[in-house]
Formats: sequence, C-alpha cells, structure tokens
Amino acid sequence: MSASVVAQIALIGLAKSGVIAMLAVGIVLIYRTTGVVNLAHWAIGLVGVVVYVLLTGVDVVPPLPAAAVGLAVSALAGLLAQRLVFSRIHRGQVVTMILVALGVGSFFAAVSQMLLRGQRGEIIVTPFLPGSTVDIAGAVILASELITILVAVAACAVLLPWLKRSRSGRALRAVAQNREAAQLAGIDAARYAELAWVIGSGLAGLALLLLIPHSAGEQGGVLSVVHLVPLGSLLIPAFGAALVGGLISLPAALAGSLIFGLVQELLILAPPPISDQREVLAFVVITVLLLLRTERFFASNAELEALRS
Amino acid sequence: MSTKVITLTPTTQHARRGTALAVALAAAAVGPLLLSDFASFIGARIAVTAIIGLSVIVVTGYTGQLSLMPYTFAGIGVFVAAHTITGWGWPFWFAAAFAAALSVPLSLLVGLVAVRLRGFYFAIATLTFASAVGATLFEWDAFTGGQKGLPVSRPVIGPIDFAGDRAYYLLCLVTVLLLVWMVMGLQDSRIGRAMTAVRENETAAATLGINVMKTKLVAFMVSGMIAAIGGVFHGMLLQHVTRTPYQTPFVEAVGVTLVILVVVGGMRSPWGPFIGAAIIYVQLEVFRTALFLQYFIAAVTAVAFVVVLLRLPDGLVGLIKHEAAAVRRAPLRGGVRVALIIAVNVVVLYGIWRLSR
Amino acid sequence: MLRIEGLNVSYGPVQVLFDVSLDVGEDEIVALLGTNGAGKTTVLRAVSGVIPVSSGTITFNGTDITGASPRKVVQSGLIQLPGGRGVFPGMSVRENLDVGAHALGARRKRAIEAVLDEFPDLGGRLDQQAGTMSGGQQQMLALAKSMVLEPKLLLIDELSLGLAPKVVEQLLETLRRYVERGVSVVVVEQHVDLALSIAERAYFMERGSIRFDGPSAELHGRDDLLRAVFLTSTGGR
Repeated sequence: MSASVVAQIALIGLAKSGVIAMLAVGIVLIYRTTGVVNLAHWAIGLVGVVVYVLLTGVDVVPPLPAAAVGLAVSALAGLLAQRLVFSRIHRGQVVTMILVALGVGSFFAAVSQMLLRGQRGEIIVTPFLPGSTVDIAGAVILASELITILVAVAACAVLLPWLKRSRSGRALRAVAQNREAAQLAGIDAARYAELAWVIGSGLAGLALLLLIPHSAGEQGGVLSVVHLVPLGSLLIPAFGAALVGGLISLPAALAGSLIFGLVQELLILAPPPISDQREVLAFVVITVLLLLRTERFFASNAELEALRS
Repeated sequence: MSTKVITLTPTTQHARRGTALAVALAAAAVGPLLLSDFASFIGARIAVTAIIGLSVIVVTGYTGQLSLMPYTFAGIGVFVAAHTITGWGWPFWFAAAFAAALSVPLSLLVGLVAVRLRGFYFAIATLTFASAVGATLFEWDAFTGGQKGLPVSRPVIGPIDFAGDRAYYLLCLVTVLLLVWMVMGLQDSRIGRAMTAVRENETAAATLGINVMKTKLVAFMVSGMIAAIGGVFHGMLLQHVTRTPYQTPFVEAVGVTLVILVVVGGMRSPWGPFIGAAIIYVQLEVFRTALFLQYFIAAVTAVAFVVVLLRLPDGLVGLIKHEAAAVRRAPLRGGVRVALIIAVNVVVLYGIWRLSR
Repeated sequence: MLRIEGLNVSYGPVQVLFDVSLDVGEDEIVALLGTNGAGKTTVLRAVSGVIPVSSGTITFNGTDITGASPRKVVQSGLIQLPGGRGVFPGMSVRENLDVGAHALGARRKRAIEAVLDEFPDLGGRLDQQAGTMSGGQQQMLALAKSMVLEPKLLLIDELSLGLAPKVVEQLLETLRRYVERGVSVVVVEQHVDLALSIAERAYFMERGSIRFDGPSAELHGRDDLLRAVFLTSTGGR
C-alpha cells in the first residue's frame, strides 16, 4: 500500500484526535477544578450544535456567526450547570455527583430534542467550513478535517501558555491544585470553577461543531439520533484520553487523545480480526487504564485527597 | 431531610403495611382488566421496567455503586428468551433461570474488574463494558438475529394462554412482586446489611470485617441476574426484539433513563422502580401524540431527578412515606394536604394534555 | 484587633464549634491550643471565610467580617497560612508566589521582590517545582506566600507539623522579624511548648469550646488540660 494512503489515514486520524483532545481537555479542566466527572460533557456540547442547526436552518444567520453563537451557548450551558447544580454538591458524594452529571446530560439532550421539535431520523446540517478537499503531498483529505486539526492545535497553543503564565490562568491552576490555599490567597474559587466550566464547555461545543456539521463531507453534515443522546460516541475515547493523564494532567491527556484518534484510524490498515475490532481494543485499553489507577502517576496522595474533599 | 418516624408496634405496622399492599395490589390487578388491552400492555411494560429497575436497586441503591450495564444484561435475557422459548420450546420460567445463569460469567468477568474500582471509576468501567458487549456479543448475528431481530412468543401454561396483553400483564405483575419480595429479603439478610455498610463507608465497612470486594461482586452479580430475568420478560412483552436498544448505553440511552426513573421513584426501596416506571410510562402514553411533549417530559424528569438527588434521597417512595405519616399524625390536615398535592398534579397534567391536542 | 464573639459552626448536621469567643490585640502573639479535633482549625477557617458561620460575630479592626468572602478577608489584611499543605505542589516557587499574591493585582511584582529579600533561600530556587522541595522548604514558601499579602494579622495553622526542630527555629526567626514590624499572629499548634514559648497569651480548646484563656505561663501549670494534648500528640506520632 502506498505511503500516501497511510498519510491520508493518519491525517484523518489526527482530525479525530483533535476532536477527542478538545473534549478531553474540558473533562480534565472541569474535573480538576470542581471534582466533577462530567458525563454531561457531550450533551452540553450538543446544545451548541442544535442552536447552530436552528440558526442556519432558517437562513437568517450566516453559518460562521451561527457557529460562534452555538459555541457561546455551550459555554453558557456549562456555566449554568455549575452555578445552579454542581456547586451545590459536596465533592465527597461521588455517586451523587455522577448521577447528577447523568441527569444534567439527559436534561440537555432532552432540551436539544425539544428544540428540534422531536424530529426523528436524520437532519441535514449546513457546514460552515469549506467542503472541498486538500491535497497534502498526495494525501487527500477534506478541508474541514485539516481545519479541525489546526483549530485543535491552536486551542492548545492558546490555552496551555495562558494556564502557565497569565494571572487568571495561574489562579485557575491554583484552585485545581489546592482549593483552600487558593481561597486563602484571596482567589475567588467559585468564580474560577465557573471559568473552568465555561472554557471546558466551550471547547466541547467547538469540538462537536467541527465534527457534526461536516460529518458527511461535501454535502455538509448529518445530525442523527446517535448524536442526540446524553453520552455521545466520542465521549468514551475522550474519557480514555483523559484517563491517560489520570484526569489530572493536561499534557498526558493530549498525548492520550493523539493515540486514541490516530491509532484507531491507522488500525484500519491492520489485518482483519484487528481492523474489525478497533472499538473493542479501545475498550480494553480504557479498562487497563482504569485498573492502573493512572491518577497516582500525576498527583500525590495529598493532592488526590484534596480533590475529593 | 429529616422525617419524623411514627413508632407503631411491629404487628400493627405489619398489618397496616399488609392492608395497604393488598389494596394497592387489588387495584393494580383489577385496574387494567377493566380497561383496554392497551392499558394492560402499559401495565406490563411498567412491571417489566420495574423488574429491570430492581437490578439498579441492588447494585446502586443498596451497595452505592453506579452500574450502567442493566440493559446489557437485559439484552442477554431478551435473546435467550428468543432462542429458548420460541426456538427450542422451553417453558418461560426455565428460560428465565437459564438467562440468569448465563449472565453470571459476564457479571463475574466485569465484576472482577469493577469491584476493584471506586466511585466514578466503577461507573466508567461499566459504561466501557456495556459498550464492549454491544460491539461484540450483540453484533453476533446468530445470537441477535442481525438487523431484522428475532421473534419471541409468550408462554402457555396448561389451560392459560398468556398471549393476550391482559393475561401477560398479570404474569408480569406476579413476577415483579415475587422479585420485590426477594429483594426486600436480600436487604434484611447478612449480605444485605454488608451492602448497606459498603454504601455508607467502604473504609469503615472493611474495619468491621466486611469483605468489601466480595460484597460488591455479589451485588453486581445479583443485579445482573435480575436484569437478565427482566430481559426475558421484556422480550416476551415486545414479542419481536432487535439488538439496538441493548447495544450501547448511548443510542437509546435506556441505561441512563432506567437509572433516572429508579432514582426518582426511590433508590433505596424495592418499590421505587415500580413508582418511577409507572409515572414515566403513564405520562409518555398520555402525551404519545406529541413527540415534542415527550421530550419536554424527559427534560422535566431530568430536572426532577436532580432535585431528588439533592433534596430527597429516598425519592418519591420517601415522599409518599412522609405524607402517609403526616396523614396518620393528623388525618384531617394531612389528608387535605395530600388531596391538594394530587389535585395540583392532576390539574397541571390535564392542562398540558389539553394544550397538546 | 480581631474579636470573635459567640461563634457557632456546624458541618452539615454536626455542630463543631460552641460559643467560641476570642480576642487578639495589636502587636500580640496568641496561641490557640487543644487536642486533636478540638476545632482549632475550624476557628481559623471560619475567620477566613472558607466555611460558613451558623451564628456569632467576627470583627477585624472594627469591621464586621462575619460571613465575608475569603477574598474580602484577605483584602482587609487578615491572612491565613493553611495547615499541612499550604503550597501549590505542581507549580514553581515563582508561580507559587505570584499566585499567592493574586489579590494584590498589578502590585504583586513589587510585593514579591520585597518578600524575597526576607527569604533569601527561596530566591535561589525560583524555578524549582514546589512539590519536589523538602517539608521545611515548602513551609518556608508557604510562609513567604502569606507574607506577600502584607498581613496585619497572620493566622498560622500548624507551623511546626512534621518538621525538624532546627527548621522550625529558622521559621520562627523569620516570623519574629515580621512581628517586630507590627504583624500580629495567632498560632494554632500541636506542639504546646513551642507555642507557649512564643505567645504571651493562650487559649485552650476542647470539643469545640474554649476551656481556658489567659497568660501562657498560667496554662503551663494546668496539667489537667495539657495532659490530654500530650497523650494524643505522642500517640499520634
């Protein structure tokens, strides 16, 4: 098989990695600052896509501004979830916290369905990125996939230095590492927790906006029943990627995203039993990650204790 | 929330509970028979959902571990029913026992991984396994009948044919009551008390000499067996089954919906799934004509779910007990209060129903 | 300077502080002692606004700060050095100081420079990750982080916990320099002798209530109270 086919599949895999990475970064940010394992992550991103679909459906708003509005709606949904619901739960109540996350996810999924007036089946979505193909040294991929890769890289290139160097970014990390010490330094922990939700949820909206409106290539995108559920299909790989960093480390989560997206696509080239069972392989990897309790590689016991109290 | 407990002597308490139960049962048994076949079908659906919901009671309500696998085990029961009852002509009770037995290897495999994990890691592990089983076992066409699915026939016992919805409803009602009774017994048993201890505090339970992993594993396996039995009845209810609803916890999100209705009903009482399923299915049927309203109900239910989690740890069962105690304390005031609550709900439901026409 | 009157605090349904009253004057060092779980840390957390107060009043320099946000409390000059793990382990020393001075906004650069003059040890390891330093160095950083915020009153939760006597002596020396410049201090300590050697006045707590308040020397003679501390602290180490 030719090198360009491998390159092509690798690039498609990278685009998938990009979507997974944007989801995984949000999961890690939200978990670290507020202790919430956000099973509502997909549904919160979905609300933004649905708003985009509604806006472009009536031809009032051009696609790109509509996408921006969609992203803002996802961020707002995350902010409301934190302010109205999650801030009221004590971190120690782990099972309640997960159940509530499921409930919030179901709520946003139901709201999404309501906004679409309960339409079943598939809805054709206008794309906001060009549907043309790009030839990169013989590897032909969709322009939207290339842009997805670039956006994901750009998002990380902005977010990581911001967390590292800016006053707000450092305050956010401080809240994540030691909430009480941060408060005692005069940092408004509740405000920064909300900021983490806004950033994470905005990224979830961005990820799904890059994915769903362009899922059918040149025709644009298809929003199907599979997308309109509380726990979307890419949420599991995103959790897998986040687990590579124990839900703690952002760089490790990014590496995990790269592996999950890229390897899953590249295994298409493997011989049949493996190429057919790529999803199952991913589940095996996640199970191993769970059993390894990866968090202990990235944080001391004291820090983990603080995350849970 | 603190609820004042009225202390009665055990015998009167039992007698009262017995009377209340008998009245409720008589109503449940007779009600649909006076109504249409269709109402019986809804009744059977509620009973079957309550059976599968009982599996959530054992693992989540009693033991405090969130499993997102109930519909995976139910799927095993569904397809076992299709093969054994319809294909091989087995009696339904034998198929149910067989499905329960078949769930054991899977629940043991998953359980051995999951019980080592706590809290959300347990939940994520079950979510992963549910997806993995959906992508392997349920993709096996010989087992699930592929896209077309498989037929399931309802049983005939001696002279009684359960093919009709009314007769089948009664069969489901008897089964769910039997299982409720067994799950109640489980709670009062030694292992049941160990489960409660594990739910309240794993570390403390271990210091009491309770084997935490074993307790979680038993809970998970019992839960799998109940869900598989529920699956057999689910298959017979639908009479034709396809794999998709059982395949992933995402597509139909049934696993999620099930957990939600159990929590709303009351996670710590075996009656919880019954009440939760009744409320949701009756509403869905009332508003069947307006798809939009069904999603509205789903959204409202999700809000109710979150409110219950934050404010009412024992769900509607807890609320009902609380109000019943109020009526006993002050029959007149309590009675008026309960009547008002019911009236407001009926008016709101009727209003929405009229608007949906 | 700081006046606590009739403070009651509950964690959920469990009341942990009962009618606690406490006074700290200008230029004073006060020790708050007691057995494990007596509620000393809870008093500090309530004062700093990290946990809600059920009833009672807390005034600082004449202003009522009961129920104020931690941010407001910090801005009024009342700073707490948190117990146990006061640093951000995943950040460098420089980042720790920067984030510690968050409340100062644009003034933080100058404040950090001023503090580094007092803590020369830290100046040499600005890029080291806090989590990789020794316990003593971390506590020194935690102290520096508190001093960056220019406290008028400093609440210290367990300065000596798990540290070698020599390291503690070094920390105390730095602390004394600040006291001479007019910073008042409340120390919560397990190490009774240490606390009584630096404080003029002491409070003693047991099961959520104040059992003793008076000059340090007087508490020294109260074996009935101190026995409990010695028994639990020797048992605990």
